[in-house]
Amino acid sequence: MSDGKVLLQVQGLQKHFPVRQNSFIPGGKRVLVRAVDGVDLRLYEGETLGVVGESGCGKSTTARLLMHLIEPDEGSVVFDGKTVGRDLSLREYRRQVQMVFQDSYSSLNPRLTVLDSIAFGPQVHGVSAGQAKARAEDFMQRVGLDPSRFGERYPHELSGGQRQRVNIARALSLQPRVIILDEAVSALDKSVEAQVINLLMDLKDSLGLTYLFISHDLHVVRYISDRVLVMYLGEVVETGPAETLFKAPAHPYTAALLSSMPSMDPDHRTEEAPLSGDPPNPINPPSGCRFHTRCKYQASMCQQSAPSLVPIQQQAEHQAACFLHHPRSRHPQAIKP
Amino acid sequence: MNRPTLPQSKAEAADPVPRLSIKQLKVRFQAGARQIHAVNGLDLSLSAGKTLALIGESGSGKSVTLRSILRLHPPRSTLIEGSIRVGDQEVLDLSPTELADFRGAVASMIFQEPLLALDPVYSVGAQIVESMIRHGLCSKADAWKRAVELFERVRIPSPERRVHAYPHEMSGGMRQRAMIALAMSCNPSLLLADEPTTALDATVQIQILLLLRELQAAMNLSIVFVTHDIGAAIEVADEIAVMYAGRIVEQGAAKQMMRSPKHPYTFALLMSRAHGGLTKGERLPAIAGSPPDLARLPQGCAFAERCDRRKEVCLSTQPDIQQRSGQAVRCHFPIESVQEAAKAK
Repeated sequence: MSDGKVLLQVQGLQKHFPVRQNSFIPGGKRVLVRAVDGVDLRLYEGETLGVVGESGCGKSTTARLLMHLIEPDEGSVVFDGKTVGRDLSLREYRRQVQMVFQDSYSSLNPRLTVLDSIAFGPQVHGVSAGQAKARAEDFMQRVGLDPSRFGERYPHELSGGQRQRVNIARALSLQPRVIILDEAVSALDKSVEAQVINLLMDLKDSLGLTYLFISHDLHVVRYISDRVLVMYLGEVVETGPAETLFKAPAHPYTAALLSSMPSMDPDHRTEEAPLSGDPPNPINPPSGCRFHTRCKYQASMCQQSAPSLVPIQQQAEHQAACFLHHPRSRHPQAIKP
Repeated sequence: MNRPTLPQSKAEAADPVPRLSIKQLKVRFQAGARQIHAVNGLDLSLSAGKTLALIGESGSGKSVTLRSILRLHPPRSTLIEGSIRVGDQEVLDLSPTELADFRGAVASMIFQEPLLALDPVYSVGAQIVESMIRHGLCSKADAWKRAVELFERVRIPSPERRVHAYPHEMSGGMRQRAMIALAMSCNPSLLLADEPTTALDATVQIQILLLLRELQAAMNLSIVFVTHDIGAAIEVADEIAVMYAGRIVEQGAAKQMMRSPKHPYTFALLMSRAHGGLTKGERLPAIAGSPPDLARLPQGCAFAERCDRRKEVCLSTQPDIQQRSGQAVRCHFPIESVQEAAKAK
């Protein structure tokens, strides 16, 4: 996949949110939530990149930063070789990169019919009302909704699965090249989730789309993604081809995340939780390697310095940020050079 | 509440009294002119020290059933028929005072969202103490001591300090532990868990599931665990009941049901999951369509419209429960062999 063309790229992406420590006291001490702290991300044309991590790891903030829904502190987004905001207007960028959100209801305007919602974007971009409507009908067909039956309905008259199809059709109506799916199937029932996943795969094939797929469901991510990015407290801890990463995770956090998934086997139920406690607060992330407080391999050096991403077994595509994989790190259990 | 008494058969009377026994439960909600048939004739029994997982999609009636056990539905707009017995008490006959004695002390509940379920203006410790004093278990000083013990029990770090914390000061996993401590405070024999791990991360979910398993073994608790996640159900349940459109469509031992589902819906649900064994590019065997409108339930089997094994009789007649090698299944044409059904897909 890495021989393909880089479509979307960002380096050193950073976003810190200032908050008051105690919101009841005006003028209280200001602290920083380090939501995204130096994320490098590359999206190749035609691939699906899965992003996983616990809540608070910054995966949704990353998506919003990529969309420029919030402005990054550091790091600029480069789309198709052009820096967004400098060589490429935000308006044109957003025509090419669209997003589908988790909550299918709150992301639709309750006062617009389904057809008007889908036709709205193209009209903003200068398509005539009649053409936009025809295009909306076409995309409703593509996502499996009959325009004559559903076109005049309002969002509250649809089921969750149908609403998410509308959101997908709306994202498609601008004929984008990239779609960012932020937990887009997480709120759906399992039987409906499978339908929507199949739909996403079909659309990707027929329209040549590129996906950034954010989810906490590792089974779905494994199934849908070509490459996977694992985040922990605002940082990337591991990235690599989906199959390699799921079969042989290199970072202890990825391994723990994978073994936290329910076993699905009544004869071999999980006997011990791979991780204890909740993820630490991103306000004061632990020093050194941010995972050291929950890691069973932690050594004194892990508290002092932060490991960088290094290739695993000489494969440039598979990288992890852990001293275990730094041959000269002096970690007692590190691999031998 | 209109509730006909049901004849008790002799065979059932001979059995040891199950801790929870639900018979022919029907729950309907009045929503304007429409009547929502949320639960349509449900039978269930659970013995001491066992866990039953009630699984189904949204709108299948699993949470409605659970909430009926504590009578949490607004009485003015809800019609409940049938019988719900917990120990030797008939829940649907309890007076308001008896109901207040019953809730928490005999059966208690943990919810999906502890931030909504806990009172934001009292510390969690104060809420635990209040419930112990209401049920007349001990003095205030002893209650605080017991609250600390409970926090220790559910493995909240530094319990002496944390009992004085307010819900918003805790992380998601810790709040869920605190709610479990509150639910356990009056030594109930029945714990009702309504999607307690759905809002949690996988790494925290498994910790909570293991905690529930541990508490159950230590206290001989009976647990009804409502979830839409089959994976979570397998981790905790001895028995699994699958609900669809307000009815249990299949019930049996967890192990057996995972290996040989008999109802086409259970089978399709298991097949449609994305799992590690799938190859890339392979389509997920999804279930077409969506669950029926509970205000206009079909005459026949509610799943018939989405079922690939349906015949004419399925559309006209509601199937009865059949026993198939230890599993109860509500289907005219239950699956005989999983291999065969998988091939037909």
